[in-house]
Amino acid sequence: MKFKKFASLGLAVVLAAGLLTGCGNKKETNASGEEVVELTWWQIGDAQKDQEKVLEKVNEYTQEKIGVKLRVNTAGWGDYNQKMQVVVNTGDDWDLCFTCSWANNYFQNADKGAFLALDDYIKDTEMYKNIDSRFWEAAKVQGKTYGVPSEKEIGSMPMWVFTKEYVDKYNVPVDEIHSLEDLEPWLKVIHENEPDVVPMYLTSSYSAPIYMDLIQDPVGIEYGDETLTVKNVFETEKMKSTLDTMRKYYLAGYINKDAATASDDKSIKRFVTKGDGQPYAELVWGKDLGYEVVATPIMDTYVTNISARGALTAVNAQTKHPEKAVELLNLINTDEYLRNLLNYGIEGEHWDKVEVPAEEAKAAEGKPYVYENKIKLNEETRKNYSVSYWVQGGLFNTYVLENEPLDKWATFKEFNDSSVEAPSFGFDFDLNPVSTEVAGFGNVMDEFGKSLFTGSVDPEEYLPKLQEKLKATGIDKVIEEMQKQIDEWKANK
Amino acid sequence: MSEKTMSKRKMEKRIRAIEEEGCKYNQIKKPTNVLFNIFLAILSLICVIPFIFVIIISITDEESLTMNGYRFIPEKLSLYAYEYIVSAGENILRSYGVTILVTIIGTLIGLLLTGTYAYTLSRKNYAYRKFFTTVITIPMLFSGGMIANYLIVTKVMMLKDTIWALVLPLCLNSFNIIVLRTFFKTSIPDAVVESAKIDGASEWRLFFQIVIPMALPGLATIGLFLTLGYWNDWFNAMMYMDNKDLIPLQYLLIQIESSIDWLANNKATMGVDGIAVAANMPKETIKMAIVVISTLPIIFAYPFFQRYFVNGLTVGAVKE
Repeated sequence: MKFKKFASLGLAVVLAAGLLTGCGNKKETNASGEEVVELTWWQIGDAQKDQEKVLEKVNEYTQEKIGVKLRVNTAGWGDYNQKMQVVVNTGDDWDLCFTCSWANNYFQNADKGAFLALDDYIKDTEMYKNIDSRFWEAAKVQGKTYGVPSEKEIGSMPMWVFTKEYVDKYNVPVDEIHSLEDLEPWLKVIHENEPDVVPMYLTSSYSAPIYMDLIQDPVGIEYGDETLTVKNVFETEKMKSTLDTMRKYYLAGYINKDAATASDDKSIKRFVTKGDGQPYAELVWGKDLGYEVVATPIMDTYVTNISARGALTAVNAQTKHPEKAVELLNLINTDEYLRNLLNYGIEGEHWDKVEVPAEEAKAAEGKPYVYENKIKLNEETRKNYSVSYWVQGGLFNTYVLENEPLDKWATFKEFNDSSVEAPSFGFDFDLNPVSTEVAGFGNVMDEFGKSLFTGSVDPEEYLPKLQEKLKATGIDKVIEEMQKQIDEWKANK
Repeated sequence: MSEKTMSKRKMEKRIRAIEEEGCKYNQIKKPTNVLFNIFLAILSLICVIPFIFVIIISITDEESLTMNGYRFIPEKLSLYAYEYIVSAGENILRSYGVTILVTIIGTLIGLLLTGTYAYTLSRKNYAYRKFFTTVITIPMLFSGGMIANYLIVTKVMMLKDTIWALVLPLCLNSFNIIVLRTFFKTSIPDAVVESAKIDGASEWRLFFQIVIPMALPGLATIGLFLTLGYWNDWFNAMMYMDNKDLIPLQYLLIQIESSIDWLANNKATMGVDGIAVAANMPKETIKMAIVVISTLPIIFAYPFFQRYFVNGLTVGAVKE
């Protein structure tokens, strides 16, 4: 008898626990009587300790202003893709999400109808006028806009990054150096005179300068090719000569021997390395390395779909509050107070305003996106709230940091304006017909890419091997398919 | 009296003699023994050294780590990483609590469910034995897939963001049930069950007072599997947990690791922004310290369960 009781009690506990959790599911609440909607926003990046604190402040403001409360969910950098696949495909409750060309793929999600077409909602908003029209153009998939772009640098700018110490010592004319070949005499000088410095320090993430829009790595269209001929990057003359040069440098001892497998070791002294930059990137690199660097662009900056879709916020096609969602995005992208609150945290706690030197203020006068003050982050509390700025919105209405130039965003704007559109800008490749072939490319590139790019192996021998493997994977079919699609696109343009 | 002890002593002596005799033939040659010992020592060193290395790195000074790289004898020692975890790592300690709680609750519920299910299947006179065996065999071969699982847990069971989302999905496992069923079948003689019934035991008493004590080694094995499974689980947390306060330790570690990996592999796409993100990542020594504190408790779980790995409990229970 005793055991029967015990057992049934146990069962009852398990059942009750199940029931309780069933009831524990939260419901959207209406605050202070007025109709406030809660929007759930998925963002990439690690969860921040003070996030709730900051959101409380944000909600105070947005509730008052547009009747919106915000709930932010985050998934880590490495997990975001997988998490969002589940969230999007299972019809979970969400309203906004971060999307881009490299995580939670913008084109694929837009193409399959997961995102809401925003054209009707955004056309009269302030942000639509403010944000560079090329960002909006890039956000179009089959003629419709599915996301609000975060305004930042529009093109990616591969750069040579030199250690300033050696540049000064040997009077290296950095501004005249652009191509890989331009580096040679200086690599030689360093190699001969500085035995404990690696002339060209490369790591496994290095990719040789590529002068084409890699729509589907390694297939794409060369910059400046108005005929829009789809090519395999390894068959272009430029790449062949680049690989030969890399091999030459490697054999001459200019490149560290472990380049194909190394990960960045900051303790190694280097003369030059490659970085993917933006205006004022030297400041960031210098701070990271602990010494000053100077940088020079390798090539003109081109605007491609990949680069202009660096960060967007999309709205769920199933959302109950599309107007509110767009209203919120508009507010974030235009409201100085809200933008900086989301970006840096609470004023007085995470950061403080600081005066701008009169001289600098004067020099920057009349330029766009210049604010009256700079800010200083609180060293103690900044680690409790440090988000990636472009995840939430555009950068141009954020304050600049103390150590940054006041006209930082004006320079960004100039940079964007001077960037050239790649001929393939605006073309989306639907890879469904060739998805099996494309899936095989990754393995081939993993096998040969790094060792070829860093010059660790002889291209005479390995390039044909790579080509053979790519052929076997079906690269010709992919080129053919892409050419077909791009011809259609060109005809309808 | 004295005669009795005498004969007892004699008996013992004889038994010892027989045992020694047996040992003589059971022994391996000295050189082989030495070889085996060396071989096993190397094997266990291979297993232990990485962990010792992790401990050493966790107590190395971060600066001397960046200067000299990993070393067995660090230049400068520092307990900074552990201080950081205790003082600033609020979420680390909370996650620690979550992991322990989930492991304990999960192992208990899991043992109860697996034990009852397996026991029922092991009884030959149970009418629906075939049916329920098939029911558990199916998920062993096929899985519903990620999306279906997610829908069941979040939409049907409504477990999202609750601790049960970490507990329930791992409770029952076909493999465990089959292992335990086989164990019950082979180590609980039918005669024991029958005699208990004749003596008037109910099914519940039979299970809790007769079968469980006899099946402790089997249950301990499954208990160990479950404990390890819960302790090391991070996937469920990734799927079902948006609430930062209920994230288990392993997921915290995985998040750090996968973020660092991802940043290293996506330098080109992230560009300058990647550097800013990387600067916020925990330092090497802190990562290692988390590994140490997440591994230690589970090491102690082994001796605990080992106590129950005793064989021959049922020897002599039935005379045939």
